[in-house]
Amino acid sequence: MSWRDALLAALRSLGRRAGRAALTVLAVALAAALLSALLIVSTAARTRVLDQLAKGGPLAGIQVAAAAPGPQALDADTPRPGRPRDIDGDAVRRIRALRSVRSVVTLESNPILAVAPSPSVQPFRDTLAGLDLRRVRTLPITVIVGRTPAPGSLTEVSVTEGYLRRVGLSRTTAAKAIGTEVEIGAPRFFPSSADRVDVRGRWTRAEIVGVVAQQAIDAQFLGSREMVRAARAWTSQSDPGSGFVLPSSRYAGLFVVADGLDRVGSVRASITRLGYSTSSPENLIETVRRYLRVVEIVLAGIGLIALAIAALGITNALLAAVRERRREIGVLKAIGARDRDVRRIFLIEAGVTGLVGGLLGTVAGYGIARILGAVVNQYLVDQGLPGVGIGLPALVLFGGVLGSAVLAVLAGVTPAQRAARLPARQAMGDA
Amino acid sequence: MMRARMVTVATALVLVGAACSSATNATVAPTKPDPRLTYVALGNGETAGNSVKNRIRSAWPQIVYREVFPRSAIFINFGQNSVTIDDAAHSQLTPAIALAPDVATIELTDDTFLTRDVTGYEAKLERFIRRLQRGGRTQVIVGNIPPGDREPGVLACTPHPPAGSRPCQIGDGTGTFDIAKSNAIDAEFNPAIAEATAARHVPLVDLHAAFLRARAAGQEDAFFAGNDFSPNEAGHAFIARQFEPAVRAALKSKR
Repeated sequence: MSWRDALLAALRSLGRRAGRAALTVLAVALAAALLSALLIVSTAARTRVLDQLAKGGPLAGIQVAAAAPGPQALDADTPRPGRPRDIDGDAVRRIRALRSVRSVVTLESNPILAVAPSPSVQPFRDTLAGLDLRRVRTLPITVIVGRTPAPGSLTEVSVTEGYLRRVGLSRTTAAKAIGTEVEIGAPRFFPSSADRVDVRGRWTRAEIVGVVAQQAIDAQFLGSREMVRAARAWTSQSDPGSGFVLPSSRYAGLFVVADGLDRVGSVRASITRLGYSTSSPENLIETVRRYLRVVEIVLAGIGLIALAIAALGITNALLAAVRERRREIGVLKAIGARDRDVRRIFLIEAGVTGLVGGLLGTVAGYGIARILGAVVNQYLVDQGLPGVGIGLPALVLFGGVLGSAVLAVLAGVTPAQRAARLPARQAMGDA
Repeated sequence: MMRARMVTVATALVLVGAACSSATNATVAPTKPDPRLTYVALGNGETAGNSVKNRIRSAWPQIVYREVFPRSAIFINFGQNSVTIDDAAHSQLTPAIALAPDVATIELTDDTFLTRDVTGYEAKLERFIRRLQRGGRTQVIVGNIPPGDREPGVLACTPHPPAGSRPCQIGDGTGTFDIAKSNAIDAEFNPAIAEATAARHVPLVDLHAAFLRARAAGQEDAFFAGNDFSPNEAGHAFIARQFEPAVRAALKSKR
């Protein structure tokens, strides 16, 4: 008997007992739906929690300050930095050359005076931070609404929640800030008279294109590197006698990404040896990751129990089918079917049940996860937090379908074996 | 046949990939930056905005910058209190030229009470404008001296001050202010400014005439309300409106 004949025989058999087959498929589908929904939700939750911890940046990120390492430099996630120490091009090259360093992003900054559009908001002093915006994804920056400025733009900025608070907005109303214009003045201190110093601003205007949560640098305004360099070029020419001191470090800080979370400790130690203060949430992330792993194991366990119950259901259904189809098995054997042909029919029957159930269940699981995601997102938005993106990981899709089919085939082994070993005479005789 | 299968598989993979992608944030289309223009304002305490509560918002050059210039433009206000044209040539002109500005406004009027040297002022203003013009690369616009005889601080020093006036603050506060003499000085300086601007072929913003027109319309007092000697927020907005057409024309000629 060929595979094709076996498949047709299995399908005919399923068709003759459509009710039972449908119930068996439903059991598998429910189990697969439960497992895939749990996996999708736990994956999304895991990403969300870890993203929040890393504020959107890579988990293996290390912040390097323009300061010497302080005491307990490596014992804490965010140690207190020591005295100021310049980060120049040579320091960047040496850090970039360290083992297990994947990337280094330089951060620049300049003090500014900012003027918000609303006349009721007083102009305030803050910092404009600049970076290579093509590499913003490698930094601990999460876009809450809008986007980050275009690379090289001199007329676009993103602002943080600190700015929102100043202008009377919150996370939930952050979108109102998008498209508004802020005036940014870089100060320069001129000598004026013996007892007076004139401060003159170099004013530029910028459109707010996004609101971000960021921990890369202490600044409420995020712009292009070019924007900050132009501002710094003005401020750095301040009169030395004015008493104003602009930090001499070319870079305000660095964001270093290690090859993996496991390498963060060694990279931090290497940078500390080079004489710079570092910080990284590695201990916090590792702790949370362990807790999340436990949650995932529990959820996966619940799903697997459901699948095991479904597998038992398949075994039971097929055993019942063997009992009911003894005569049919006997006839098959009488006309020349071998044991392996009978076994093949039953295994295909189990496999098809698992495949169809797995496919339906995984799709249903994705739907359930989306519904749960919508409910959770509504809650998060109400709380002023960014929503969760629910996707269907390819592993869950293929794993759910193929896993259900394989499990069903395994569940069908015993009934198929029993059917195959049934002597033709006994099968006919019992019938 | 093989190729058709590969296309089918590739299409399926693309569809699966699309289904697996997660939600992304809404974006704003990036804008292309304009060529950068630099505007500098040189002048007195009014240019600096010393007479308004929030000079960064309300000083007239800041309003001109906000209203007339494109977002990409750079603006630096060099205005200073009590500055003669000689002082400004050192403390304002030199750093302003270093910026290679495209547009500059000048409102230097403190010589009317600091030096009272009309002849010297005219020659110095002409030199000042010539240097700032940088051979025609900077469009310069000059404002003249508005009438000061309706300023509350001046009226307070007249023999018969208006009711509710604050005590006289000119000199030791006991003398009276000769308005006619003050007007005569302004009347000498304004033609000197007109001569200097005509000699350098730069536009003159006639603030004197504009304020007199506002006086005739009964609006002038509102430009000084609450202040003693300088315009308030409404006055600065009025001055900005006088400068704006000339600045727009200068920008047009730059393009």
